[in-house]
Amino acid sequence: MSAALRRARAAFWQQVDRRLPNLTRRHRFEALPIALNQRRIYIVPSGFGLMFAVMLFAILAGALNYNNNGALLFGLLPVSLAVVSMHQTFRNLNQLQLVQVHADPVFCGESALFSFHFNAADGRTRFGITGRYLDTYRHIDVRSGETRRLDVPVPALARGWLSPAPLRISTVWPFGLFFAWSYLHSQARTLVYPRPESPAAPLPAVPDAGKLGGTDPGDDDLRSLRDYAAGDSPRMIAWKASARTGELLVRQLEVPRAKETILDFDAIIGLDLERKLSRLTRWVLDADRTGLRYRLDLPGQKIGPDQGHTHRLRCLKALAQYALAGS
Amino acid sequence: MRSPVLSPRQFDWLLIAFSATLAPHLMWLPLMYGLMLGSILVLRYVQRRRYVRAWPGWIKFPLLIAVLVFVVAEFGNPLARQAGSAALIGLTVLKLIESENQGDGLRALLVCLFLNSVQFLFDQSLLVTVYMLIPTILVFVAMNELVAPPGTSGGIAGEFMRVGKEVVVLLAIALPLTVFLFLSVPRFESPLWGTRDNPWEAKTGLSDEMRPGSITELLADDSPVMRVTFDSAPPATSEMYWRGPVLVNFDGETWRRRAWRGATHLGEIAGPQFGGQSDLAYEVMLEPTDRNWVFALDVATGFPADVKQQVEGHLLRATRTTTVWVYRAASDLGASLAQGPAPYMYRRETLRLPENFNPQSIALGQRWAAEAVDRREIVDRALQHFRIENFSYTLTPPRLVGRHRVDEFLFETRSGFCEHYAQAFVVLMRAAGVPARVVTGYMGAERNRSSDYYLVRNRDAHAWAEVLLSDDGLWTRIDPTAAVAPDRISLGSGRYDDDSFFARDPWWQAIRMRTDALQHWFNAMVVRFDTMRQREFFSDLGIDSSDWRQLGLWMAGGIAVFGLAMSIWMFARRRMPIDPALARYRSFQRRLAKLGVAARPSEGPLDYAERAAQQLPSLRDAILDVSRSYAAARYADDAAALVSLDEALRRFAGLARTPRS
Repeated sequence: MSAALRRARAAFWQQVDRRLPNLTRRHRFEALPIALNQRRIYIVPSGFGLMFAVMLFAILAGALNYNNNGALLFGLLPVSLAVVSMHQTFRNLNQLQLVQVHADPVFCGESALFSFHFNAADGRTRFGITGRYLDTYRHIDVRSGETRRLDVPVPALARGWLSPAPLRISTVWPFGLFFAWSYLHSQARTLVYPRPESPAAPLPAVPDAGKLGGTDPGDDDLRSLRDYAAGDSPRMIAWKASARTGELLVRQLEVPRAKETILDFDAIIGLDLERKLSRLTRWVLDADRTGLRYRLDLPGQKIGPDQGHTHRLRCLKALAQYALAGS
Repeated sequence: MRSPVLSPRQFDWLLIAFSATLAPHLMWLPLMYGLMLGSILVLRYVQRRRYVRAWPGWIKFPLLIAVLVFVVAEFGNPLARQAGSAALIGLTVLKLIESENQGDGLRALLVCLFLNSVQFLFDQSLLVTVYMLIPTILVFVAMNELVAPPGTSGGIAGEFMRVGKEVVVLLAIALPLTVFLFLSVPRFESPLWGTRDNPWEAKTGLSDEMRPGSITELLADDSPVMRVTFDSAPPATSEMYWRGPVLVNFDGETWRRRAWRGATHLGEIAGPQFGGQSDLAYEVMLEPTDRNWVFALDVATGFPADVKQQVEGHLLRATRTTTVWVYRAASDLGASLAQGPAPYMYRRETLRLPENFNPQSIALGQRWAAEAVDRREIVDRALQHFRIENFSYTLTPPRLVGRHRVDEFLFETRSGFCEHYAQAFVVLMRAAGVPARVVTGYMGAERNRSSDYYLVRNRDAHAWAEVLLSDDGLWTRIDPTAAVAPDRISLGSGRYDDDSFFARDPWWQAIRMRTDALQHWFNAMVVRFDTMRQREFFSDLGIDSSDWRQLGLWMAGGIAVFGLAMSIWMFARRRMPIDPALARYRSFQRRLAKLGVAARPSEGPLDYAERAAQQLPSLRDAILDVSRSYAAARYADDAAALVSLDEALRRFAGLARTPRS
């Protein structure tokens, strides 16, 4: 392909993107605030609008045929109202503004609740604004001078940065005869932490606590048993208890109330990357809950030792972004 | 996606819109039917308030049968349009008892729009037309409610103040657009299907026979029959005899028209005529009568092309008048009608009386005939008799119940109105050997002073007599009622026998006339706006409406104007209401910029103040003061801070004005 042709094609798509961002949906990530305007609002008659048209056509045909001017007048009035309402439907979206998008980080497998904040750039009240995200519909009115939130759940399927797909904003106000819509693809994202492993593997013992492992907690003491988790040493399986309950159980080592622990990526063996991160995430949460000081050792970075909310967030963020392409 | 269930509020609006649509139909629907539908709606409303569910089939199905049976029983042919309309209304009510979701509701609203138009098949008066705005607007309000997504406000009904401007714009553009389209949409000269004959627009009016009491109903009916505009000076109202059917055959109870057996053209004497130079010319706007009668002043000498004059003098049209019809006519008020073909036979018929009826009257007539020298004297004798024998004119006469009703009237009750006098007079004349017939029609008119036309109402219905004074002469009009009640003739029906406040109060009379003038105008401008008027309208504008290119250009131009108006409105952007503190702060920034310290986009107000204070040490305190007050007013949402901001700004302005040393 010649360079000139390539350039022409690029120019063409650039033009298409600029003129018809919604139709092509090629436009990725726009900066906030996004105000809707005539370039990106599309409008068609709704199904009800088509029925309305058929009915009005019947009325007008009858009125003209029988030369009944009263009927004609009251057939033309709804037609005129419908025509003006088309413009109102458009105006209901025009200059509606997405000012902010916010979502709290979530764990993989949960849903991130994205809040889209709208206000009216020109201060007019907007009625009956519907946001559709995949199969979720949410409805709001945006009153003049107010900023209204439209919350949609976005399933977090993989750790890392999560950006919602384009949100469709639509309206049929005032009479439902026309359907106007626009797609918003905002530059919004939130972090998805790895899914915490479940059932949880026990927190690793403090570096020199291996000596305590010599004590046998006793095979029959169910209180000291827990469900088998992948990666547990076969030596720790409580075979008798497992046979009795039908589930694989392992002996719970009595972990002393140590003050500090190290959550080491490299110390976990026999699991793939994601499951290792999953276990580390669980450990971070458990360690944080039990009030331990802990250090997260990932290849190439060590975080801590420290404790508390901020430390936990730093660790989770590191886990979420670990070894991601492009991060 | 399933249609959402209607909320109570949405359902209420649906019912309100439908009730407003139903209301004008109740005027023509049979009372029982209206009551049935009304009570179903009330029950449905009460039920839906308690339980959100449709009525079960075992209720719906019998109701459906009831509606259909009622319609067929009342209107006969279920395919006739009146029956069709009644059935559609009934079925819509039944639809409402099972309407539970949005889709059902919206479809019902579309049917409401249809019913609003159907209404005009029954009544096209100005009052009803203006009223129809209400159901139309309510249907749109209900639509607005029904399509509002759950959890949001419909807007129009609930928050009228907020959307008031939108509604005003909606109507301000939609109403002129409607008028524009109304004027421009090409009318069909002839129907594409069916005929324009709507028998169901039937009005009660003059009938083609006269039986006891048949006129009484009319005398209480104020509704207009026609409006007449005279080209030149109008005649006195006492000379306005609007000729209707002539009644010849009498069976002792009922007067009927003579049947012109064989060929109908035997009954016609003249095709369309155009009147003599000296004749009185006028334009008549006739309300629908559902008859093919054409009223003109006696004797008609000019009438339109599709009208034929009958031997008996009245005019008939080829089709029935089913919508307001305007025609021109001319009359010669001094003329009399000649006898038609076969005068001998006709004279015999106009002498015939039923046997064994009214022996006393016949005896009286025969006595007068024996005593008189000519027919003129007999006529005078009869009129004299009415005048001196204590006869009285009343619209509420005692009922005549016996076999010999004319005897009863002439010798016992002696009170009645035109019907009684005309009938008794003709019976007396025939008994005395004078050929006589009853003429029905309207007598008199009321002048509308506000727009100078004459209004004839149903209550002006009248019956008079015509006699042949000699066998080879002309028919002479004799109005026996005038002998008894000259006021009825000279003042018209409105002033006579009516002592009520409304009849006398001049103020009320004036209002009545103005309303009627409005209706007259409305008929002319709207109801009668057809192909011809449309052509006139366009030719006034210099457009030939038969040329579709010119018409198309006009339409396109008009639509472009409306499109432009809407675009201006659509893209007119309103500025965001600016924060008062921000407005003040901006002027402060401009002042500082003049002093050489322009704000940088990256700077917050406090950083900026710090920098400005360093560069303008003499204003340091004032600058910091303004900035602090501004921050408080804008970000702390502190109303008092705005006051201190103003004070700080004044101080700053005072200092900044003094030249820096």
